[in-house]
Amino acid sequence: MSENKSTFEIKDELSLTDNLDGFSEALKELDAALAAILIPSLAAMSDGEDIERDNLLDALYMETHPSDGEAS
Amino acid sequence: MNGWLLKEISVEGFRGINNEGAPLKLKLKADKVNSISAPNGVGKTSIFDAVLYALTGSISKLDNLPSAERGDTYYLNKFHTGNTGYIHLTLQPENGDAPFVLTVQRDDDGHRTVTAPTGVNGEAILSDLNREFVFLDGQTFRQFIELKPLDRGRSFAGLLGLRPYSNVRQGLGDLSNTRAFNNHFSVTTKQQEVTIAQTAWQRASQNISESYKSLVGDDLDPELTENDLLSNAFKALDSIELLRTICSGKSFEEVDPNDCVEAAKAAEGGEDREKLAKTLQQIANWKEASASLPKTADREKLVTLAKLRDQALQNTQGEQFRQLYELSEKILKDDNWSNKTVCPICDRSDHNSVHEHVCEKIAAYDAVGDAAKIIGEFWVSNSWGNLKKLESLAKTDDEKSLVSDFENLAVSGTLSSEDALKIVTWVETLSERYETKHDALSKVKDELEKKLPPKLTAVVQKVEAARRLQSNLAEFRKQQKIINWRKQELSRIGRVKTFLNKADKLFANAESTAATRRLEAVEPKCREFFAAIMFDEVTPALSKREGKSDISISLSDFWSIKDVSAQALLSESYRNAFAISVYLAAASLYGGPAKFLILDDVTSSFDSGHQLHLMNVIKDQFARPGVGTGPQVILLSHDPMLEKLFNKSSNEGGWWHQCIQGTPRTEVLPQSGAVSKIRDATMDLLDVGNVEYAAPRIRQYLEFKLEEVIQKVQIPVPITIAYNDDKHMAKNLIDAIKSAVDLQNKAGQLVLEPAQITGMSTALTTIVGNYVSHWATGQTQTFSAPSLKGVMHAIDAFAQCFQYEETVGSGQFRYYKSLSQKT
Repeated sequence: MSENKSTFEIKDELSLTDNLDGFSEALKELDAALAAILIPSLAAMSDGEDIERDNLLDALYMETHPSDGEAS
Repeated sequence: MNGWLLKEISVEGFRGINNEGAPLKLKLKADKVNSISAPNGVGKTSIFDAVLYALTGSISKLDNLPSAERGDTYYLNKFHTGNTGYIHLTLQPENGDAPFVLTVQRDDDGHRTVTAPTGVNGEAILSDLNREFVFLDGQTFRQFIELKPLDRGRSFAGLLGLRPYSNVRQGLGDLSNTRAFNNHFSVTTKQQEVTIAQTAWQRASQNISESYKSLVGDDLDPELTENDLLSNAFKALDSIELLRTICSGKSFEEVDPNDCVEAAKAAEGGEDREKLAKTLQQIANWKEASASLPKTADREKLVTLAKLRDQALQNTQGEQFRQLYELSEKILKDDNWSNKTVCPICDRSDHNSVHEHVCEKIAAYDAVGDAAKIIGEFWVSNSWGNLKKLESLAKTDDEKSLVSDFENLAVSGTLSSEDALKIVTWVETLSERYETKHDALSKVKDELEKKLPPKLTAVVQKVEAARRLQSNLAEFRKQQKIINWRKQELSRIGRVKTFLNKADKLFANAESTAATRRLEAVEPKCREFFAAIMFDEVTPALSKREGKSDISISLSDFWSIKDVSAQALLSESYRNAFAISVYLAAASLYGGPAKFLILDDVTSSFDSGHQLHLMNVIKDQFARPGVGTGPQVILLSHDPMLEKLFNKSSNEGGWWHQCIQGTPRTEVLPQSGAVSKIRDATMDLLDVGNVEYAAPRIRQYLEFKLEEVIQKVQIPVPITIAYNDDKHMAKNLIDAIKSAVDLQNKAGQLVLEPAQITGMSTALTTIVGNYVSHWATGQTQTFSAPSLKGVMHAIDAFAQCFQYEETVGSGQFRYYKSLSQKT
C-alpha cells in the first residue's frame, strides 16, 4: 500500500460527481487495487441506496491476492 | 444542474381529497409567490401530504402511527371508490425547457408507481427534489430547536446540501466499523487459530530439541539447518550396527521405528524388550500431554474471568432484546427518524433521547462480548484445548470428556463461572492422575532396564527418541503451515481494514470541513432573515465543533446579554423565527435542483405583525420574483388575517392567491373556475339517481354560486359569516344577498330587471324549500334525484338574475358591476 499521504476536500463549486471523482483519485493514492473495487459503489452510497456490504467486503478481500499483498 | 419549479399540482383519491373523476387542480405560478388558503379540514394539508408522498414515497406521521391504527390505510381517500390515489406534478424546468407531468400513484396495497414521459427519469427527478427544506411546517421547526446537537447536525447535513456526502460518510463508516468488519471476516477466530498453532509449534519445537538430544547426544544448535538436523539424526540411527540394514537406502524420516524395535527384539528376543519400548513410548506421550497443564494461577484466572462475564450478563436481557435494541438503534440513527426522543417501538416520547438509552443498552451487550472475548483469548493463548490429549489418556471410559465438551463454550467466551469451576476441578484431577501414572511407568521402566542388557536398552531408547523426533518434525511443519496461511489471511484482511479506515477518515474530515464552511455562510444570512422578521435585539448563532457532526444553536446576543441558550430563552414564536430563518438561509444558499418550497401553516405562532414581517422577507428577500433566482414559494394557510394579506398582495402583482373549498367526502376545488366542474359531476350523479353523493356536492355548488354572486356584484356580508358551520353557510349567504337586494330596491337603485327580481324569489323558493331547509336540519332522506336536479337548475337561474346579456341575442352573459350599477 502506498505510504503517500492522500488528501481530499469537498469543493462547493464542483458537482457531486466531480467531488466523488476527486475522492476516487484520493482513494487510488491510498491503495489503487482496492480503490478500483470501492469506487463503483460511491455513487450508490451517495444516493442512500443499500449497498451489498458483505459482497463488497469479500470483493475487497479477493483483490488482496497474495501475489501483491505484503504478507509472504 | 437543472432546477425544477412547480407549475401544477393535481390530486385525486389521496388523503382528504376525493375528487373522484375530477381531480383537484392547483395551477401555480413559477414567477410568483403562491398562496393557498382554506378553512380547517378542507384539504390544505392533504395537498402538502400529496406532494410529500410524491417526492419521498412516505408520510411519516402515518407511518409512525401505532400499528393498531393502520396508518398505511389512511394514504388513500376513504370515500374514493377507485382504490388508487393519483398525484400529478407538472414540473417546469428552470432552463426554459417544456414542462412535463410526473404521475405518482398509490394503490390500496401501498404500491407506489411513478410514471414519466419517455426519456425522463421520473424517480431520479423526484429523488433530486427530495430536499429537507421543500416541506416546512411547524413540527419541522419545533424539532430543529429541540433536537440534541448531534441529531440536529445529522439532519442539518441535508439542509446544507451535503446529504449525498453524508450518505457516503455513513456508507464508509458502516464498511469500516470494526465490530461488523471483524465479524464478517471472523478475525477473532483466525487470530485464535494462529495462537493455537503457535503454541503447538513451540511445543513441537521443544520436543524436537529434547528428542534430538536423546538420539544424537548433543544439544540442538538453533542455527542448524533442517537438512543437517535430519542428517545428524540419520547418522545416529545408522551408526547402530543392529539398525544399519533397516536404515540402508533411506532418509531419516523413511526409517520406521517399529522395524527398529522389531530388530532389537529379534536380536535379543524376549517380551521385556518390547515392553520397555512401549513403556518408553507411554512415558513420552504422557509427558507431552502433561505439558499443557495450566498453572494454578491460570486456573484461578479462568474462574475469575468467567465470573466477570456472568456479572456483565446480568445487565442484559437476552438475545431477542439485543436484536431489538440493535434494530432500534439502526432506525434511530437513520436521519429519516428525525425525532430521537420518540421510541420506534412504542411511539412514546419524553424529553430524553431514546437513541442514547438504546446505545447504553447495546453497550451492556458489548461489555458481555468484550468479557467473552477475553475468556476466548485466554483459553486459546494458554492452550487449554491441548488438555484434550491428557484427558483422553487419563480419563476412564465412564467419565465425560469435560475439556472437549466445554471447549466450544470456552473458545467463544460463553463459559459460565460454574462451568469454569468444573473444568478447573477436572484439571486438578488430571494433574494428579498424570503424577500417579508417570511414577508407575517410571518404576516399570527402571525395572525393565535393570533386567535387560544396557546396550540394547540404549538402542531402544534411541529408537523411541527417533520416533518422537519424526512425529514432532511433522507436527512442526504442519503448524508452521497453518501459521503462515492464517497470518497471510490476516495480513490481507488488515490491508482491507487499513484502506477502509483511511478512506472513512479522509471523507469524514472533508465532509466536516465542508459542513463548517457552509454553516459559516448560512449564519449571517439566517441573522439577516431573523432580524427582518423579529426586529428585536436578539441574534441567533449556529456553531459546529471541528471534526464533529453536531450543530449547536444559541443566541450570541439577547438584549445585550451575550452567548446564552436559545432553547432556554426563546418563546415559541422566536423559536419558529429562528428555525424559519435557518431553513430559508440554507435553501437560498444550498437549494440545489428543488427550486420550490411548500410551507404549511408556518405562521400560526406569530401575531399579525410578525406574520407580515415574515411575508415581506419571503416576498422581498427570499423568493422569486423579489429575488430573481430565488425559490418558488407555495404558502398554505388557514389564517383569515393572513388571507387578507394574501388578497392584498395578490393585487400588487408578484403574488398568486387561491382559495379552496370542499370536503374529504366530495370534492376539494379551487373557487376560481371550479363551478362548472362540480356542476357537471353533480348532474352526472343525479342522472344515475345517486342522491347520497350528489347532495353534499349541491351544497358546494350552491355556496360557490352564492359566493360568486356576492363577489361579482359586490354585496357586503357580515364579518362573522365565515365562522358559521357549513350547514348554515348557504342560508347565511342567501340572507345576505336578499338583504342587499331589498336595501337597493327600497332605495330605488336596484339594477335588476323586474323579471329577475321575480325569478330570484322563485329560484330561492325552490332552493330553500327543496334543499337548504332540509340540509340545514339534516333531513336529507326527503331528497330525490328529480327534485335535486330542479334545485341545480334553480341555482343557475338564481345566478342569472344578477347578469345581463352583453349583446341581445348573443348568449354571452356578464354579472352586473354591482346591485346599483350595470357596467
